Amino acid sequence: MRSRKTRRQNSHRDLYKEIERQEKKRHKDRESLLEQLAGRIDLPADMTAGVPILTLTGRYEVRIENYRGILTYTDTLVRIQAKSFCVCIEGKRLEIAYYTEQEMKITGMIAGVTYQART
Amino acid sequence: MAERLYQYLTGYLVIKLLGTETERFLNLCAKRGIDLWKLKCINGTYYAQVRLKDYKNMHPAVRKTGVRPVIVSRRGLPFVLYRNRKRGMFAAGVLLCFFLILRLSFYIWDISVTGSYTHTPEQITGFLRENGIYAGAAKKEVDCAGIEALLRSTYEDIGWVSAEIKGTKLIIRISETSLTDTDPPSAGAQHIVAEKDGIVRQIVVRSGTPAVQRGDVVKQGDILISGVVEIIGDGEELMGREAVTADGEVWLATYYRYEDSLKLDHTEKLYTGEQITGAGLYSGEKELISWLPSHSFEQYDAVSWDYTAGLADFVLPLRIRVVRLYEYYEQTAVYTQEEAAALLNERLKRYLENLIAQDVCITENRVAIDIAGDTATAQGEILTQEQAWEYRAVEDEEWKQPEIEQETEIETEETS
Repeated sequence: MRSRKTRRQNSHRDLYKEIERQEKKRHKDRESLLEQLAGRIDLPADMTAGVPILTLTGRYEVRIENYRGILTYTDTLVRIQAKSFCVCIEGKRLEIAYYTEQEMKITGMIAGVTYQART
Repeated sequence: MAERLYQYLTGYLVIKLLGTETERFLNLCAKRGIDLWKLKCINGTYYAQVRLKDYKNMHPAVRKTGVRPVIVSRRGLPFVLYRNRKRGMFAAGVLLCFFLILRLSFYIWDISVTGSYTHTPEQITGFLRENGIYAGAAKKEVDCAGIEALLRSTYEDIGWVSAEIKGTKLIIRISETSLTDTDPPSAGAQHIVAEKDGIVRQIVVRSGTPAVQRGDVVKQGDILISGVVEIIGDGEELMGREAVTADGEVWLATYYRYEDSLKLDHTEKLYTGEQITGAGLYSGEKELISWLPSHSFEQYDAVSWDYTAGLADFVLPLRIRVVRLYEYYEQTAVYTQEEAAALLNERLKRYLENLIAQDVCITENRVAIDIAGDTATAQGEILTQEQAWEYRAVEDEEWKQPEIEQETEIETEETS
């Protein structure tokens, strides 16, 4: 049978573990250090932190700059790898109007743009 | 647009990508600077378009990923030329077409005159035709500065004119001045003389000797301001005479006789509402083809519209002329007294407006309208005040005294 002291120690350990976990999660959701720096000194984040730029024109067109490459391409989903995360564009009849190293344009009926953590 | 044209001129391929690692293949292509466009995913098969020279550079990516690009179709000018390589006449036709357009661009095919008010464009183009400038003249023989000088010297009321060749069009812009030419003739001294009979109402002299006073009655040709100036010495004796160009303003009270008449019986056009439309193809004034439906109109008005072939300022010597005929028949009618009076008044009003435009001040209107029998007449005088004067050269004998032969004694002193 465990003593009262041990039980208390265990309970403290669990509590701190939970706090640490929460802290880690919060840290993960925050902007990266570079992005924060870019915001502080008023520099465009795409140049300093390498974040992608998405230009959505209406419902049927999106232009993306500053990315690494394509992860998935089907006519309903396009996943694009950026420096620290992944951009998913969902829709119908998606086409890539042009694709170069710097820039790409996706046309089609766009349903949504979501972000995923780096895979 | 420019990019599409470049793609067409250099040629491009539509390819189908067969294999599993398509995304990796696309990324590798992007890294190697191979542009892909119009990527489509149809039922799991990928289609893309790629430049002709990039297709060969795809090899390393193909080897790495195992994706096989299969050519679906070949598009662009190089392929069109290749497919039509045996059609010699077609190529000759295209070349001939280019050559003709190039050759036709060496000539003036249209002359447009804008800004003229008293001179109609037809009058100006007719005048230019007499001087060797017409639709069909070679561009290099058209001297824009020469045209400008010619028009300015021929039409004195044209104040400013510009001639410009744009494409195959000669554009003439005219600005007419309503100012009467009051500049004195450049040569010699001038009198100011009355242009018509009248009473002097006001006289202002800037240079010269006034010859009339306010209230004087003058006849046409009388000197109003003399160009001869007498030079009076201290003792009021005449020292000599000098001739100058008279300058000043003289307002004369004069009148215009006005007479106008109108027959009460007249014929009127009554349009039946029937109309037919035809069209024709013209080259310059020469008819190539024309078509007009058959009709049984005895009397009709013809209205035509011209459409010139060509792009913006590059016009070709081809015109489509649409003609529309409106049928009418004539009917005799009689004006009522009110209608006749209104018509005559309208004409008188136009006459007066024309006078006012010439800087004539109208003081009284003594025109009466009278209807007798089948004729309506308007007659009377219009009293006016105007600067009715003109220049007349000063003759030498008017001011030069007969030369007195002076005997000059030449004294010679001989020194020894």
